[in-house]
Amino acid sequence: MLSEIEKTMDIIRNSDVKLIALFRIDGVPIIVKTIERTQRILNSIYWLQRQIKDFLNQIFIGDLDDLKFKSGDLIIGIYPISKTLALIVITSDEISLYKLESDIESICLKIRDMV
Amino acid sequence: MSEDKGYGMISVVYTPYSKFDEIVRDLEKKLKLDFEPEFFFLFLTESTWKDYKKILEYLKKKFPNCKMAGCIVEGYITDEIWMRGLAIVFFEHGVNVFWAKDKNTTKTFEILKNKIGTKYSSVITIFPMFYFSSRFDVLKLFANDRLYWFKYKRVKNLEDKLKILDSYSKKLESKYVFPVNKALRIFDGNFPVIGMNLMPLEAGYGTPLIIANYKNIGRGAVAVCFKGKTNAIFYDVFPERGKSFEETIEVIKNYFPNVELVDVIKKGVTIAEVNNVAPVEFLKRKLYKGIAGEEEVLSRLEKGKLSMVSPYGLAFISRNTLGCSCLGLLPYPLNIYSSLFDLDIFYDKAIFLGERIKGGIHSFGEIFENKLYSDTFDIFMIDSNTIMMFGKGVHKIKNFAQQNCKEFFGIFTLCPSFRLSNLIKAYFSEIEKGLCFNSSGTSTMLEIKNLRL
Repeated sequence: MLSEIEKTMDIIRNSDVKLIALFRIDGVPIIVKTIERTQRILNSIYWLQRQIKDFLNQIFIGDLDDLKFKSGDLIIGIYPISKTLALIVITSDEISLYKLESDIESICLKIRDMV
Repeated sequence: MSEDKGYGMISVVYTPYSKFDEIVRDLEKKLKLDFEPEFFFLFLTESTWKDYKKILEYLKKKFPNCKMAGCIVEGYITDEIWMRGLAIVFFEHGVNVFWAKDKNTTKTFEILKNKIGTKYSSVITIFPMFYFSSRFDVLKLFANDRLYWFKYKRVKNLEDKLKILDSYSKKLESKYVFPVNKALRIFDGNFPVIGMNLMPLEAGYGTPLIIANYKNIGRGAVAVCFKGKTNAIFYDVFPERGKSFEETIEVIKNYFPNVELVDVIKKGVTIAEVNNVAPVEFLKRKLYKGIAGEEEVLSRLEKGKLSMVSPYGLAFISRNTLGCSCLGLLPYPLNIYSSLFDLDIFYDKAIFLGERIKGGIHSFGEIFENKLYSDTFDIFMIDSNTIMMFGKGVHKIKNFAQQNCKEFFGIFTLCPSFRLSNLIKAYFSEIEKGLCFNSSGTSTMLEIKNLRL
């Protein structure tokens, strides 16, 4: 199943998508795929590990579809897969977000079917 | 396993992957057809169109005797929705393809019309509204714009001004623009013609890409013709047009925000003045918006990232039908603004407005309620502005299709147009008798009941 999820996550890989990851609610990254292996991406992963539980709580308490932050030239998106899993996508701010959002929705639907 | 469901064998294969080797790997698994296709329709997206030569080579090896047509779209809808990768619709029989390319719109479409003849029940025609061939041509466009603007500013009376605009309009038509209404007007409306008037949401050089029988035809037009029993549907999300100029203005005022009546000097596909200033200058003054420089435009085109949509535009009311068509105003460095449709049939008073779709994405679901048959294979086209306006909300369109269609394939393409003499209602976007076009809010559908010869 993990390899199927990995393949699904690969669909949106390109140079503007810096990181795609599947995180568990307790902060454990299950799958992490990075294009850019730099300190700032590493820092983002550490930060997300600590925050993911709060983010998922906020999403479910607030009945939100997802959460998005902008940090420097990066956009960090948190998309709930289930009560305990979240897809994280970090992109550069040059990307056409409106199309990517639709593709991320398709990926979330596929992963939800698998888990 | 595909089975013949009455309309003949039609099969949809898609891959959301973007790299050529991944595409091939995925297609190898999926390209297991139970029939020998006579024709396939290839839809490439922003992530795959640059590899079109390799993809065509691969498909030609797989289907050497198959006719084909292809183009770039913003996304596609099957059991999933993707804005990347590619999709192919295979037909066992009953579909033919023709293409034409000549000096201007009228000549190109007259050739195409003659090739099509009268033996088809429905036609999808694919052509570029505006073609970005190369950096050189775009530089020439800027140079010509300055030259004609200089000539225009020197003359004082309206008649001379219009002569200059007419001459510039002919130049634009010969190199860059296929005005949608001028193109579809060539067809007499005896059978439905769906217009895929292509314009990418983000343009680059060589876009929009149009292919016929494995060949990039550049700035030409393709017709995909369907035999047998089909039904074509057009829908726009707006209320019906008024019965007088004033009534249509009232309809517009009640529907759109920020409405303002303006005076326009226009001819052919050119607009030189809106309330006595150049159109882009008017936009700048109205919205305090920065205008991109020529270098910026060229560099965005190089990256394939030149945005071609705007939430503000001018609505023109047709003298023929009192219908209305909107033209988006983009903040690019042009003095004489180029239209995507022939403006000669419209009043000289236009309406500056902001974009709005009442009812949101749900209003696009209404086309499915106009279906004639329940047991057809449906190909539908949704205005790609919805992607910008509703983001992932476009996924609801899949639900509408699943509820109303037996089998379907949908694409996102910019504001599809339509030609048919007998329309079911007084569409807002019917700008000539039996001809509908608006730069947003339109959708079309082809119900395929039976493609038997």
